[in-house]
Amino acid sequence: MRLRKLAIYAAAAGILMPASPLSAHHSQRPFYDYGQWVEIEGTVNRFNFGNPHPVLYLEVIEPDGETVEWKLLFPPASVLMRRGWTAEHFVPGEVVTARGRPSRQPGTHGMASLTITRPDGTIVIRSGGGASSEN
Amino acid sequence: MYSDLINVSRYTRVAGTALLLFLAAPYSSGTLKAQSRANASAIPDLNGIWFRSGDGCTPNGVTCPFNVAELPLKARALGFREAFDEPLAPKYDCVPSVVPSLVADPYKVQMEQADDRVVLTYEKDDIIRTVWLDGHGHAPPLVGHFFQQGYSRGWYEEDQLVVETTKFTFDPIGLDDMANLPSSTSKKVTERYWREGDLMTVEVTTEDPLILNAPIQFTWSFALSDEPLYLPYGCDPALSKEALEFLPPKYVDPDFVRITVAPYGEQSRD
Repeated sequence: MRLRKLAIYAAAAGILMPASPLSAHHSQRPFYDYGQWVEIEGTVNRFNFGNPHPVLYLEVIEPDGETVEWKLLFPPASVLMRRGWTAEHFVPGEVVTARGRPSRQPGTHGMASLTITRPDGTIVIRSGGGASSEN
Repeated sequence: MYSDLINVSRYTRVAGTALLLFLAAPYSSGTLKAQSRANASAIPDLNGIWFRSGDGCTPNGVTCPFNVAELPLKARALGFREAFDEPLAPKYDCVPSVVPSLVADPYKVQMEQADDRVVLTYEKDDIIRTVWLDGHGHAPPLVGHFFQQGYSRGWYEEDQLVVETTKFTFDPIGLDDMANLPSSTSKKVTERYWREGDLMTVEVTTEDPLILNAPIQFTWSFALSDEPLYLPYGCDPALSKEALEFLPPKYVDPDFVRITVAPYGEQSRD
């Protein structure tokens, strides 16, 4: 799936979103740039549903045609299970759009504080955009 | 047949003895010892599953649960924090949090009170702490024994459960696991729990003469929860490490602290 948009916004332009459940022991603060937003569209490779935080592996085609794998970190599985989530919440091959805070280390492809949307407009998850808002 | 009669007789004696012990239990010295620091009316009912109340702050390693900038840290603590590199924290290998940070970790905790102990079961990291009340009858740990969660003893005092925990192993993030502040084997954490209606409050005091110039304290509130604990937590060390590559190295030569393992087939065989 082609990288539809790789937009970096100023933090001030971020949309206020509901606060999310927490996982303080494993903070996201050191790993993500909370001064930026990034948005991608990609195809689900796999979903590793566990604690301390599930990871969605998303295949994304960059503008130069190169395919890269993004790692999207979610709130803890124990929190998502209370909302009815299971390991089958994402199906390999399905396309989703993700918006969140990008990883800090250049050359890596990570994202947290996610809002994920399916092609029909269904919002899968809408997280807070603040640091350590979920893990 | 005869042996069966003997067995019946033995069972009868055992059952009779058990019944006598049961009837005498409220008056036994063990029970009295368990409450030796307070009378029974001073015991708060803390049984239940608790979750932080809505007005709690979010632990962030800056202002919550401690205002880190105002902590009375010794020079060695400041130096340790300055040198520490985030990926070295054992939490990325699923080593559980400890008190005082554990109290503020935003997960549910179940408290179960028995005559001789209080058991705290934390949803996060499957932690189970046993607080031994006076009179439990076990020998205290030996001088050379240390525990990742420390050794907790407790008593009831003025409608409060007091938990005193010592004998922790050295923990590189044992004072504040978000601020990377360490704790030593000299750490002592005193938790005082009390209940008002469906609200439970704990005052947490931490002393560590090797790390702190003075005791530090915070208060945390919990509300009763009607949701069960989701166990096992089952922290996955691989998932726990997934974000580490997203962190820029702290040192110019990250191998200085992040040891490189050669690919298989390339390691030295001498």
